[in-house]
Order: sequence, then C-alpha cells, then structure tokens
Amino acid sequence: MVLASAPTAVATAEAASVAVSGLRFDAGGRRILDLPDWSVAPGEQALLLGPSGSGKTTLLSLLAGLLRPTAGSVAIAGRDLAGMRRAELDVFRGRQVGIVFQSLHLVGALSVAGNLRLARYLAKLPVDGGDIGRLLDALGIADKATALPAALSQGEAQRVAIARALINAPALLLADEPTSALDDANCHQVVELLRRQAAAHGATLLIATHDQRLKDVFPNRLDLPARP
Amino acid sequence: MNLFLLSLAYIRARALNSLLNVLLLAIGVATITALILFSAQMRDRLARDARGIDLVVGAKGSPMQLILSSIYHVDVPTGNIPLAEANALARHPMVAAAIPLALGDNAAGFRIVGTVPDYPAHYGATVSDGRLWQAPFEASIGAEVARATGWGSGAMFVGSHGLAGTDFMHGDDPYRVVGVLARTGTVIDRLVLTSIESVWQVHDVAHPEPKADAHAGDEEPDGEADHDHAHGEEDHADHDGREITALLVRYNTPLAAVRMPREINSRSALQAASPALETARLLALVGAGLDTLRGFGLLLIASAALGVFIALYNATQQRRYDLAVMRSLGASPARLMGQVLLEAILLAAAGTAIGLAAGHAVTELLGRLLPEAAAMGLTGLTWEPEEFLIVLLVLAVGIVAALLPALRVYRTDVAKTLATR
Repeated sequence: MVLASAPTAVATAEAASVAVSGLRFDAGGRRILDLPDWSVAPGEQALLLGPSGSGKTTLLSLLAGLLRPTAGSVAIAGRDLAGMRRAELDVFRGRQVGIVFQSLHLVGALSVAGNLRLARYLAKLPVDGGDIGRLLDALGIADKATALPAALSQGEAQRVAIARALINAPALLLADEPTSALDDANCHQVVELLRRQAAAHGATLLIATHDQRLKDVFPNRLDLPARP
Repeated sequence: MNLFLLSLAYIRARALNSLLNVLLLAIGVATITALILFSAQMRDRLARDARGIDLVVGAKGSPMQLILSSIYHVDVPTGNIPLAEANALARHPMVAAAIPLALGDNAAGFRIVGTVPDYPAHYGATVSDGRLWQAPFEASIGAEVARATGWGSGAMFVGSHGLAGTDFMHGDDPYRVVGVLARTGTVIDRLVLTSIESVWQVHDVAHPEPKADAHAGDEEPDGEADHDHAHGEEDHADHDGREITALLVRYNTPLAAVRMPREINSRSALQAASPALETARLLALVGAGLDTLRGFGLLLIASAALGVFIALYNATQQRRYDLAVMRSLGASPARLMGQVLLEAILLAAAGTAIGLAAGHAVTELLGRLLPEAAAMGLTGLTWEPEEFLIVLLVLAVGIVAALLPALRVYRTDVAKTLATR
C-alpha cells in the first residue's frame, strides 16, 4: 500500500489544544480516572498509554464531551466543555472532534460514502462538501465508495472509520486502540496513516492504546496507571 | 444525506421485515377502506332510490318486504291490491302524487314493471335512445338492462314468469323495446318499464284460470310461490276490478305522515309502509354486520401497529451502536428520535397508500364481478371523507408505535454504548 504519494484532502482546520486539570471521573462508586494536570499543544501528536481498565476510553469520552467529568475541567482549543449546553456540545463535537472507535461502528445500512455524508449531515455541514472522493483516495479506498461496510475487510473498514473521523476537518482527532488487532507491519502502517492524515488536516492527534509497540513513536506520552 | 434518506436506508437494510409490516398494515387499511366505500355507497343508493317517496301502499304483509319489493325491487311483493282502492287513495286530498306499479314477470332476470311515465320521471330518467312506452307490449329499458342484454330500440323479448330468471316464458306475448333510458344511478337502471295494461294482458292471456295453480306449484321451487301470485291472475279474471301490486305515494302535507299510514293500515286489505322507517331498520340490521367487519379491520391495523412497534424496538436495539455513533458525530437526541419516528411514519404511509389503493381496487373489482354489487352500482372510483380519518388514524398509530423505541434512543448512554465492543 503506497500512501506517501497519495494526495491529501484539502480541508484543514486550526489544530486544537487540549488542556485537562483536576479531572476526575467516578462511576458506580469507583474512581475510574484521576488526572491532575495534562495538556497537548495544537497540532501535537500524543499517546495515552495504559493497560485495560486504566481509564483510557473514559478519558477519550471526556475529551469528546460524551461524558461529563465528576470534577475538574476539559478545555479543547481553549473552550471549556463544561460551559457548553448539550446541544452546543453536540455541534462542537460533530465539527471539531473526529473519533475513530475501537469497534469502528460504521453504519451498516449506509455505503462508505453514505457514512461520510452522514457525518457531514449530522454536524450540520454541507453534505457533499469535504471532498469525499479525495479523502477516500488519500486513504486508498476510493474504489469502495459505494460498498456497504459488511463487504469491507477489517483494514478497509478501519480506513473508512478514519475517513469518517476526518471528513469534517476536525481540530482534534481521537483514536481508541487503533492497532490492537493488527500485526506489526499493519500496526505501524495504521499509525503512520493516522499521523499523516492528522497532519494533513491540521488536526491534533491523540491515540489511546495499551499497545507497547507504539510507546516510542510519540514524544508526548501520558502513562495511565492500572487501577485496582 | 438527510433523515429521510437515512430512514429509507434503514428500511431497505431490513427489506423483508419492512415489507411484511407494510403488507399487514395495508391489509387492515384495505379492509376498512372497502367497508367504508361499500357502506357509504349502499346508504347513498338506498337513500337515492327512496327519495321523494313518502309511503308505499301494498298488500298486507311485512312492511320491510313491501319496501324491498316496490322501491328496491329485490324482494317478492306481498301480494296485490285492488286498483279501485289504489285509485281512491291517489285522489286522497293529502296525496300530492301517486305512482302505480304492477309486478310479476322478468325479462332476462330484470324485472318488468307495469307503471306510468311518472315513475321514470320521478327518478329524473331521460330517454337516451328511442322513446317511452305508449301502446301495450312496448317497453323502455333501463341503462343496465340495455348494457347486460345488448337490447336496443326494436329488440323483441318475452317475459318469464316470476321476478328472477325462470323457465316459464310468456311466449305468446313478446314485448318490443321502443327506448333505452339514460343511466340514473338508481333502481330504474335495472328495470324494464311498460304499461300496466301489458302486465294485465300477459296474465289474462297466458294464464287462464285452470293453468294458474299448476305453474305456480312447478315453477317456483325456491319458496316464492306465495308471492308470485302478485299479479293475481285468478282474482281479476273473476272480478270486474283490476289489481296492481303497489302504489308509491308522495304527500302534499307533512301532516299526512301522521294520519295516512294509520288510516290505510286500519283498512283490512291494504298496508302502508314508510320507506324512511324501513330503510333505517334495514341499515340498522346490516350495520351490525358492517360494524363487526370494521372492528376486524381495526384489529388488523392494531396488530400491524404492534408489528411496527416490535420491528422498530428490535431495530433500535440492534442499532444502538449506530445511534450512539451518530450522537458522537454531532446528532442531537431529538434528531435521532425524529429519525425513528420518520421511519415509522414512512412504513405507516406506505401501508396506508397500498391499503387505500387495494381497498379501492377490491371494491371496484367486486362491483364488476358480483351481480349483486353491480346492481348496487358499487364502484371503487369514488372517495369518501372517512378515508382521510383512516389515513390520520394509521399515521397516529405508527407514531405511537415508534414512541417507545424513540424514547429509548433518547436515553442511550453514548459513551457506555461506544465503549462496548
């Protein structure tokens, strides 16, 4: 798979900074996450490393505004998420944050291009903007535009999920365990892909993983300890 | 991409399930639509045939039977009444108009009615070809008779004894068609009209007294023997008085409605029946059956709604990841609820549209294939205002069926759902 020479999609955003302070999240009487102070500069690419149950996914959900923290604050691009009403937060997330889920969660009833258009539509952006064709091309899956997710290989589906996370030109790209199911070669390829695309789209990149293979790739690394 | 396309995509993604739900709804809607059309047209037809007739006077018997035989021409007459008495009644000061009818025979299954030109005029019938009857054995036929038999002006036919098709032909007395009446949408369309004298002559000549009993016994195996002496051949052969079957009466004062029926019914030989009263009674009887069928149709719609509910409930369960992902992509809960509701509305709308079309098609088909329905003039090509209520009802039912699944969407815990794999 040759990606180095592939054209990159044009839409770029002003990369967002991420700042967390005094962040705590409790659920069911247990402390899931406790993160005193942490920040990522705009355009930086950082790794959240920790074993299962260390609260990585919870942190990503807090950063995306899908969860409200028990205490502390999250600021994306200088905006405090706690200060936004829910409807405001929905739109903010749709436009500013791209998320690649571990289980991908493509919408099975829609084609690849349909999944991308859906992301545009739900963020209240012009549906056919964002240049879907060029983005799919950049990710090497241009020929799959009309395919249904069920007909894709795991690798192709992951690229579609990445494309969907990028189609709205987010300022922040979050990826949850993108390499957990991959062999070494594919692992590095996917990480490279994410880094290149995040850079091309002007997005700050955060990868949450327990995959030790990635620990030396990123200079900015947050180690989350395992919780009892 | 919009909610509509998204809903369509989801419906397509479980095409068989969607199709079955739509069909179930459509069957319920079609049943109710056909019933609405049938009962409305029946009411309309009954009212139209009886319009302007305040009272029917005939021989003693069942008042319903008198109305059925003399206005709707479906039952056999209750008997005959003396012409002299009928004439006396027609001259009554409270009577504005009176039309005599003499029944007894049929031509190709259509009733031959001996009457006066006032009778077709009462129904606003005009001659579309030829003219009205004048001399005995001239006949003017209704539009439906002409269509079914192919007879036109100049055609010859003989009457058969009885009110439906029988074997006994009055072969000696052929009628000649002198005119065809324009279609009126009333009972006139199915009648063969001639003069009263024609009916008398047929029975004077064709049934001299010795033969009368014999054929009455042989020819009517279906128990109509009693009534088929309607033209009373024995009586008018013996007495100087002629007889007719019934007299249709219109009052010239509302006061007559109170006095005349009592006055007539107190006389031994005559019976007076009110079309309005008997028609209402008939509709009440038929109405119970129609209500049962309507309840059945509503039950079908309810079960279809349950089907839609189950389908959507399962769909939102299977789609909880989709719904959570859409929330993460910026969709508000309200928008996703709207999508689920829209999906239900699309299914309901498809079921309603197919059901309405099928209901009309079935009604039209019945009107063409069943002789009884054709006689009623049943057609699927008209609309009833009630059908709009059905459309609203089904859409409402569809929305109610979607409410719980939609609420479930609203309550989805996005982060938790997305974290599960």
